[in-house]
Amino acid sequence: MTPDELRDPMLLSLGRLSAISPDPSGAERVRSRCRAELTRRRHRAERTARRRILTRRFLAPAFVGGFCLLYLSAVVYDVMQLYVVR
Amino acid sequence: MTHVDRESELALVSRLRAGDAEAFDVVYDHFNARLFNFLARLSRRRDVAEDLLEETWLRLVARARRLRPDTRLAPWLFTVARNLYASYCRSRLVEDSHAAGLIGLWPFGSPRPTPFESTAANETERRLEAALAGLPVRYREALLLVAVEGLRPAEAADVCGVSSETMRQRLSRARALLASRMDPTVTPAVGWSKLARHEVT
Repeated sequence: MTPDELRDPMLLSLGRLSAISPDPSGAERVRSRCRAELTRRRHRAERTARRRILTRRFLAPAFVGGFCLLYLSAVVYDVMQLYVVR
Repeated sequence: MTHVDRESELALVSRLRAGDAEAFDVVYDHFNARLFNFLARLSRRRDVAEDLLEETWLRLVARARRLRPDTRLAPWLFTVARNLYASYCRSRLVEDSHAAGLIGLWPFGSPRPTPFESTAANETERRLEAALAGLPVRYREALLLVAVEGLRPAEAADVCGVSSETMRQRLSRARALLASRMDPTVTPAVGWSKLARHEVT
């Protein structure tokens, strides 16, 4: 379709056809439902993000720290065993 | 978006991605009536249009976080609406022209007027609505997207999942077919009668 055809009077009259509106009460119900769903999803995403931050900032370092402590304890234990035996 | 500049649209998309309900309201106010009219003219049934419209908005909400930052809302929403209508047709085995053909065979029957025909402002508009409603779906959707909703042909091509060249051809054929239906004295170009009977979804 050429630009000239797009300016065809019949096509232009299509753009001026009367519009009908969706049922107002139905439209409001859909809007409320979508808003509620959007809010619920946002809260869920925020909770997930908080959990992720908690994991990254605290749980992961705590786990690594605990492992290091355990390893260090084992080393100290071995060293002490060595000296006590002698 | 037709009346909202690209910058505002990008900002709205960004807010939608963040789950902002106020941004949703803006988008809803801007597109609800347009989507409804598109779906009503596509399906020719008010109840079906309302169901599909609700589903379209729920899809937007469900996918809001995964929208690309550069999403164009109009093509995105019309694509979803159009695909939902296609799914509806597949699930119900509704094929418009076949149904219209069958109704035409009924001795006293004529296709039920669309919601638009009964509210048309004048006779010309009523005839235009009837002619539009009688077009096969692929031509009707092309005209609805470009001539009624003001999408660019390239955007309409994306919505329908076809190439720009195919959309250009569809628009041209749709225009000729509509003209022939508006004025029965005009003989459509060769092959048009075959095309008119050939329903596609």
